[in-house]
Amino acid sequence: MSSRKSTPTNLPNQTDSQATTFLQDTFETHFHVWFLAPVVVFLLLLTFIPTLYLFYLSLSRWDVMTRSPAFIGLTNYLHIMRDPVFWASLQRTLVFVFSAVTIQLVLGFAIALLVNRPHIRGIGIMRTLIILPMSITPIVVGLMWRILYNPSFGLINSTLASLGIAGPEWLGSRDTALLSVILVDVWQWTPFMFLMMTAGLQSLPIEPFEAARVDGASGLQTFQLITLPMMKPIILIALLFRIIDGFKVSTFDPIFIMTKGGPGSITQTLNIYAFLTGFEWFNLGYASAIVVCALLLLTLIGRLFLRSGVFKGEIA
Amino acid sequence: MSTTYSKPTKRIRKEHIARLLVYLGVALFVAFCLAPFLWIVSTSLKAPSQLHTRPPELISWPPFFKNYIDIFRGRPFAQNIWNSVVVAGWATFLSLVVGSFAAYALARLQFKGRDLILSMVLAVSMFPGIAIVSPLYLSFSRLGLVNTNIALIFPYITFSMPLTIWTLTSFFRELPMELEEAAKVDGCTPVQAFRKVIIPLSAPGVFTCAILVFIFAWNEFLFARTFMNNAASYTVPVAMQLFEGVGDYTIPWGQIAAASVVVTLPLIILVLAFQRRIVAGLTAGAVKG
Repeated sequence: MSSRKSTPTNLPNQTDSQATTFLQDTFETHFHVWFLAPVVVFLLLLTFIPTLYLFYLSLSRWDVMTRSPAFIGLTNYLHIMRDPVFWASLQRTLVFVFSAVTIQLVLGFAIALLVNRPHIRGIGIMRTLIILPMSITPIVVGLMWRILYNPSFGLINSTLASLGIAGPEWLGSRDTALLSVILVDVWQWTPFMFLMMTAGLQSLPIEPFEAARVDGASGLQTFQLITLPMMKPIILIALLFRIIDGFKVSTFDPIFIMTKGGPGSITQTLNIYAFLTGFEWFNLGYASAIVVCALLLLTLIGRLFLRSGVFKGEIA
Repeated sequence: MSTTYSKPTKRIRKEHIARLLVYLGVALFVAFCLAPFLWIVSTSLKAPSQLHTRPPELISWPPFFKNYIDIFRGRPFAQNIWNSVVVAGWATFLSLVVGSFAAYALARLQFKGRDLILSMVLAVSMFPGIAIVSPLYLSFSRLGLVNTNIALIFPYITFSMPLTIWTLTSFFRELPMELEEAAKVDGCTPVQAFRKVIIPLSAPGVFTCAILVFIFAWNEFLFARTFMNNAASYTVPVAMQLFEGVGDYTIPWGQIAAASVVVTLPLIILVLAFQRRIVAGLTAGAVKG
């Protein structure tokens, strides 16, 4: 693209038509290099190099007391080992992601199985309507649920009150806050699991199911022995998508706006801990070390999935 | 459903009950997904004094439309929406330009380093934004880019790259090679073949991809919150997070609900209009793999 325009004009010997042709030939034969160069530049400048800098920061002391990063070796990491807040945040992150994703998968799969039969009307409309939650801005989702959870005028407690039940404070109480933020994620992403499972179910060949029916297999047997094994690849992909996105977005944006990690630190995930440490308490060195740990965790999970062969037959 | 049998066998009756359960399940699921939206619309039409009525009313009379006017008063909310449109628009456009060239090369050619680039792209898709937000902030502030749209557009291009490249690579793959060969016979260079034959043919795939990238950029919060620190430069998510009453210390819930409706409506229209493509884009690859 841009390189194509600039290469000939940058040359001193522009008048020489032979040189231009030569350049054009080179360009055409190596066109994949030019096609890929912008992507590589973006990846290097905006992820690779910043990540190297992040590693450096994680080995430095840089807080309100120090004007610039000072190398202190592994001190931040040694501190993390003895930091109960870090371990509690890590545990909460894992609880959040894995319980939310499990509920989404079970619910989404169940509903997909339920509607996966011929001659059900209205599936098209249903599909249109249920993709709404997952396209909404996570910050707006958080605000919406702050209104819904509000003890005095939220939908949930108003409904409970009219039934004569005094609802809990949801986001405001230590007992229910973590559950409440998990439920928001379940609300937003169960439709995604449903869509993935439906797409998977519809792509299954019909013969094994007919054979099972002829052999007199029960519904449960068919599910266990045929549906589940055949759905395994798509279940793994769906899980991978949600787990990765859970660590990246779901454990930050909505929680940040709903509770900012509170009450106390009952909903403080690793992301929120790192953000507060870096940008509210201005301890960038320590925040970087926390982020490096989160990065390692994600890499580990990604590798586990890759080893299970999720991406076989994909682009690569 | 309405067909009646004079002597329904056990099997048919069972089938009827099953169908009823299916419809009930579907209705519950749709209600679960949509009820929150209805409540927000309802809250957005309530004056502060109407919020706490018991029993709760879905529609308070008279509806308080003033919330929808007040959200634009005393704060640059309209400007914030415009910022989001500009940032998400440019990010989408540039991401598609950069991404489609790369995807084409990746789909059509075997060359050294191809796997390396693919694994780099895959790595970025797992990469949390929080990892590079402080290094990027430091470089952007040194370059004087803080509070400019460029500070958001460039990271968004990078982070949407996996989505763009993956969707488009699988799309280009499905176009037959003969197209380019025919173009070559007609005297096209590879670049011309790409521009004049492949791009027009892959418009649907590019379009799907554009919607998904746009939604991603419109929704992003962490970078926007960190790189933008004056109210006129905020994008929608940041403006929403920092939404406060003007000259008032109580939280203006009715206005927050109204603002939520205003910034969500364009997304809803986009999603409803293109739901087929979005579903296809979201589940693409997963089924074929």
